[in-house]
Amino acid sequence: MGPIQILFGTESGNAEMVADDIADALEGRGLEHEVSAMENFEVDLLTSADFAIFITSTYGDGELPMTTAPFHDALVTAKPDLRSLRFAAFGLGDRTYDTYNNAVTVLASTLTELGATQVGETGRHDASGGESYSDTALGWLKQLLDDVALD
Amino acid sequence: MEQHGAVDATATSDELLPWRDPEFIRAPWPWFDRVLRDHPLFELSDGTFVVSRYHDVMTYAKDRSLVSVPPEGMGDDPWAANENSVLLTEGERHSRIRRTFSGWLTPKAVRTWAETAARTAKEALDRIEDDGLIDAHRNLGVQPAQDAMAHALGVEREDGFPYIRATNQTMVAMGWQPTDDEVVRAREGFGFMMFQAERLIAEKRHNPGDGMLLDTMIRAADEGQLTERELKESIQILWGSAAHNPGHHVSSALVDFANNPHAFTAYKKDPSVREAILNETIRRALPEVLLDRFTTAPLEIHGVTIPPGAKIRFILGAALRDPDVFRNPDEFDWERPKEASMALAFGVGTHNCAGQAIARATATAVLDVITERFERVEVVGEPDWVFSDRHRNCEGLTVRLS
Ligand code: HEM
Ligand SMILES: Cc1cc2nc3c(=O)[nH]c(=O)nc-3n(C[C@H](O)[C@H](O)[C@H](O)COP(=O)(O)O)c2cc1C
Repeated sequence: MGPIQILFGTESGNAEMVADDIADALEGRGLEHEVSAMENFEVDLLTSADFAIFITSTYGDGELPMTTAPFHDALVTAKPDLRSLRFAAFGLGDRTYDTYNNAVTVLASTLTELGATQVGETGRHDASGGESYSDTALGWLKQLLDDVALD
Repeated sequence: MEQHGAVDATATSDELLPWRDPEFIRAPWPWFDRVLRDHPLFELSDGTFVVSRYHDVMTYAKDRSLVSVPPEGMGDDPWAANENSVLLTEGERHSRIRRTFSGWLTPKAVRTWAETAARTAKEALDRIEDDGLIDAHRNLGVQPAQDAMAHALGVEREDGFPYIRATNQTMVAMGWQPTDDEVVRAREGFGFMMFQAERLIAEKRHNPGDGMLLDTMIRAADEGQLTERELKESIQILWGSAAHNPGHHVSSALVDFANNPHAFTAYKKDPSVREAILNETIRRALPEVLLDRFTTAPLEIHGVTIPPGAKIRFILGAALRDPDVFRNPDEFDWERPKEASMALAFGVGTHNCAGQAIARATATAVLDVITERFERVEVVGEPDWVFSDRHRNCEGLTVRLS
């Protein structure tokens, strides 16, 4: 299997920290990985990736944040064939918004429409809940790795 | 949580929170406790609504129909000086401006700027003589934060104190019914900071290309992503306010450490509690006591419909001592439940603090440096606090470190 692609999209940088935490945890398990900002990632590269972890926050009124939006637009426009891609998804949001973690749902459904297969539950961090980003993300990752064979 | 029964939208009592009363301004806590208990939502005689409870502020202050500019416009309010900045714009224009600098203030990016803050604090500690005395507000609060921003922007380091004075002058005019004199002083404050912003922009235009934040924002302006006015106001805020709240926060934290020596020791000995201690110092520093917003559509809060065009005062200072969330709110307690988040001190919603990450990182860097070298802190003399109903700040704090 090729390296796990960790892709993050963010407005104020918390998703980047989550991506780094996940990368460190994969490193600890000896799993090869690469971290990229969504806005710097060519969507066509996903056609040759085996496994990716998508991390995005939600902004505005359930909208995609600054760096997820262009990536999502590129997916919708280029329509890459993602049938060989498996992926997991983690969202950052805030439960006091009606549109709690909408962006990660939108992104995951677009990926699925393009043929990719989601594995595990979508992870969700609630900024109003008080739990740290790391604790939520690493708890989610542990469950994912228990459920799914990545190596 | 019990809530609905206690809502009181009929009381038009202007005495509940006596905004201009010096004793209220100094220590509004008993007044806040009373409205939290008996009047969580009430209306003033001029039609302003006041919201105080934690969950209400958290929920309603982020409503997307609220704006920061009053329906009649800014008029000759000195804060009109920021009409083309993130503070007083909304929607796409607000995101466009904010996104020209937000990538430089992310939790990851600020680690580098915080190293500069740590260096400035270390140099200040090196200058302490045998008596252990230090002007902590200037040297540990203001200057590390100012230098961190100098690093991010790519400008020369400068004394941050004149900017603190100027910002305090402007903040007083954000309070309730400022006097003519306060308005004049606010204009002076803005005048000074705008002049400095223009100077920095002109100097960088003369000598461009370092690829740092100011250079990048100038390029954005040259490419049409920012107007000149938006650029100038953004730099006025970033540079002029870089150290304002941080200077107060670190000063207030040192006073907390002086009064709670066990907190100093815990911070020093146990890295795992540092973040929680920092959070509690931010809650107590409360640089911004409340947020004023204006409705553009009817907004229903607990069955009361607030009409469009009304002002709502969201009292962060009350919310952050709401006993449903913060038990024994006067105590310095860093073991509060994790749901009791002080993040509210940085505002909520679209206009939440753009500097939260850099403020947290620089304060952490400074407190790390202090606790690494010393065992305790004592306050010497009286701190020089500058308070209004709207803000809490500092213009002087001397401490002895030993
Ligand atoms: C302990 C430190 C700080 C605290 C508690 C704090 C608090 C706040 C609060 C409550 C607001 C919301 C104001 C409103 O909604 O009307 C705010 C906004 C803002 N703060 Fe801070 N602040 C701090 C430090 C900083 C620093 C260091 C910077 C400099 C980068 C900064 C830049 C801003 C900006 C640009 C806004 C306006 C954001 C917008 O309207 O989009 N703050 N801050
Ligand atoms: C102006 C604003 C709007 C937001 N809108 C939503 C939203 O609609 N739904 C949601 O679940 N979270 C929302 N959030 C919460 C963010 O997603 C959350 O704070 C997240 O941790 C930010 O991560 P980031 O720094 O990676 O962008 C919003 C936050 C802000 C400041």
